[in-house]
Amino acid sequence: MMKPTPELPLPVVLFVDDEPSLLRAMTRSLSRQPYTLITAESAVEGLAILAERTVDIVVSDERMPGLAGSDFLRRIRAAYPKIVRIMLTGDPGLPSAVHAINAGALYRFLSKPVSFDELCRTLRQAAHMQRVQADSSALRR
Amino acid sequence: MSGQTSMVFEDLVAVERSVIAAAPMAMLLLDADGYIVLANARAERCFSCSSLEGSTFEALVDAESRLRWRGMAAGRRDVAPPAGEDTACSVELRGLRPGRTFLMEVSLAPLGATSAMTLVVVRDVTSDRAREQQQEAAIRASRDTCLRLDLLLTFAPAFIIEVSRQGTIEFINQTLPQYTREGTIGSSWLQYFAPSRHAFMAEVLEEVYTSGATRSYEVSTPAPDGSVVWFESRIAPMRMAGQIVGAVLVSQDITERKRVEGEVIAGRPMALLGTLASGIAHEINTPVQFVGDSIHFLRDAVSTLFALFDQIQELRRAAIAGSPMAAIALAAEKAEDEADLPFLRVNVPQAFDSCISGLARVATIVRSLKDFVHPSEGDMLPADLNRAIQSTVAIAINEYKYFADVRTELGELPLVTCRLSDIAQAILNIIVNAAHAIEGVVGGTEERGEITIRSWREGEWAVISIRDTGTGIAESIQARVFDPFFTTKEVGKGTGQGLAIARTAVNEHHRGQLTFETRLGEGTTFFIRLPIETPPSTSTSAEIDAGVAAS
Repeated sequence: MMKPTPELPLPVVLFVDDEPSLLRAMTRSLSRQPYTLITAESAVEGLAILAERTVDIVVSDERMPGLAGSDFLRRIRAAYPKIVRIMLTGDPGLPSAVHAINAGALYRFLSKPVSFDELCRTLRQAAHMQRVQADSSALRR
Repeated sequence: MSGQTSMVFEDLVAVERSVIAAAPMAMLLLDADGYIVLANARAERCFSCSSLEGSTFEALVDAESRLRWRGMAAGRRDVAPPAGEDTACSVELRGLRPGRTFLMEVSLAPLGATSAMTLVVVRDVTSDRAREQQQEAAIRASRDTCLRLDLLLTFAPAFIIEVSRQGTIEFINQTLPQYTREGTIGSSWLQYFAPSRHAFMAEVLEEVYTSGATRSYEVSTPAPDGSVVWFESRIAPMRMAGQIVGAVLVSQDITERKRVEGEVIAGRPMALLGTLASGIAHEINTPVQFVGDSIHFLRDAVSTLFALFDQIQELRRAAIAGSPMAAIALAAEKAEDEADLPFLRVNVPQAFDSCISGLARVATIVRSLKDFVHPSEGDMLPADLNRAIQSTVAIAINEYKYFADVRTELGELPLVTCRLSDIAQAILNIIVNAAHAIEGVVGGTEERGEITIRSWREGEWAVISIRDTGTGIAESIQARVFDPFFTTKEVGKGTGQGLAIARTAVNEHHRGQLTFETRLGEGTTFFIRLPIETPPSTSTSAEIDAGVAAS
């Protein structure tokens, strides 16, 4: 696995999905990518993690027991506006998903099954955007 | 003798004259040639002329009337009426006044067989006639309106019925099919509806009369020949001076529409699947996602291992050739490090397992979908009911997996002659309802409900039971559970057709029974009983319906 360079810590990506198989597969396939990967099996678990540590990018499914993905991402936008929010769902037609997109709660919307290349590209662009935003707000201070 | 006669005559003439002068109507005395010898005051007023005496009566009527007058006067002169007969006659003429004409009724009476004089009585009937004409016109108009309303009511493509507060039919515009009009008026309106709806109808009528509401509803009516007719009805209060004096009911026969809708729905077995489609899509897309990711990982892992293997081969060649190995060994060690073998040893098998289980999940769903497609219309084939149950459980997984666990206890069943897609569809409807009922209880909490599916054989019957720990069905709606389009769900979550279709399929097409037991707060169990062999065609579905225990 790649070792982080001393200057830049790796972006932290949180995957939230109620399917453990999917979380494991994500972790495996992204293991050689320059990210620190955390997983959560529900929105509630995800929120608990966000309270404990810094996360840069959140990728969430829509259909989950308890809090749905769109609600989860809306809360993150309110509480942690700097986190880049991505939805990865197997059901893009769902009204709640469409609403989340239109309400601007998402940076990007991905439809399962998403190809590995597209996922990597999206994460790369998300990380880049996040870094740029952090730099510009640092400059403004 | 002659002196006496002439004295009597003079007296009579005097009496005549005073009578004419005093008479409360326009009177004129005409001589044999039609000249006016005497006119009373009223006659002068009538013709607005103070010097009538000396002119002819003819001069007092308009040109058109003169001809008629002449004819009549001549007739009176020439033909003496038979003795004893009424000698008066009257005619309508147009009289002349200075500047205008008026309508008058002129009555003639000769003064006696011996006198040549004629008494004329004139009556101004202008306003009379005008009033008569108005009345006639009003009567005509009213008759026309009645006729038109009658046409409207008779040919209206709907029933228009007046219902009294007690529920009796006071008026009906057309006869109900197979009933007589005479038998209908005065009868209770309830007798035309299925008994299960009587309480509801009475409630609706009361509401219309007390609160003046307008209500709409659909209702079925058993016709005397046993067929069922469906109506769409609206009932509203009739008001006079602000008071409710009756209720008017307008009903349209929608039997044909219902039949066509029923056929359309029955002919679209995938309709329910359509509403489940997004859940099914999710259940397929998710495994496809992680299978793809896993394969990606495995490809990377394999190329890493090949790279490592290349290094090992180099090492082996060097060892055999006896060349210096230190550098190669170091390179091999570096490659081994980078490969992270411990990581691969754990994750590669896991990735393979992921692929295998993920593809199996997809295969199950796709295979189960096939069980819902009609192979061909009307083919009843021996089939495995337990397989239908398992397919349905697989297809519906996204509907219940967040709220409930499904347990199946499937007994030994022989092959049952049936249309498996119909049965699977019925089971699917029941499972989806069960999931929603459970969601109603545990939604928002951490708890989960349970759906238990059992199958067993009872003599010549195969029985499937589906029990849920949901809300149960309230008594007030139990009678309507199988009504087409009856639903308690919000928009988008079911159209109420599922159980109606299931019941038609089980009870009518398969000669089976679809029933349920329920307890509010505890849950519901649906039972599907199917004959293992199709029974002989002599038994009718009505007989089977009669034998249905709970419904």
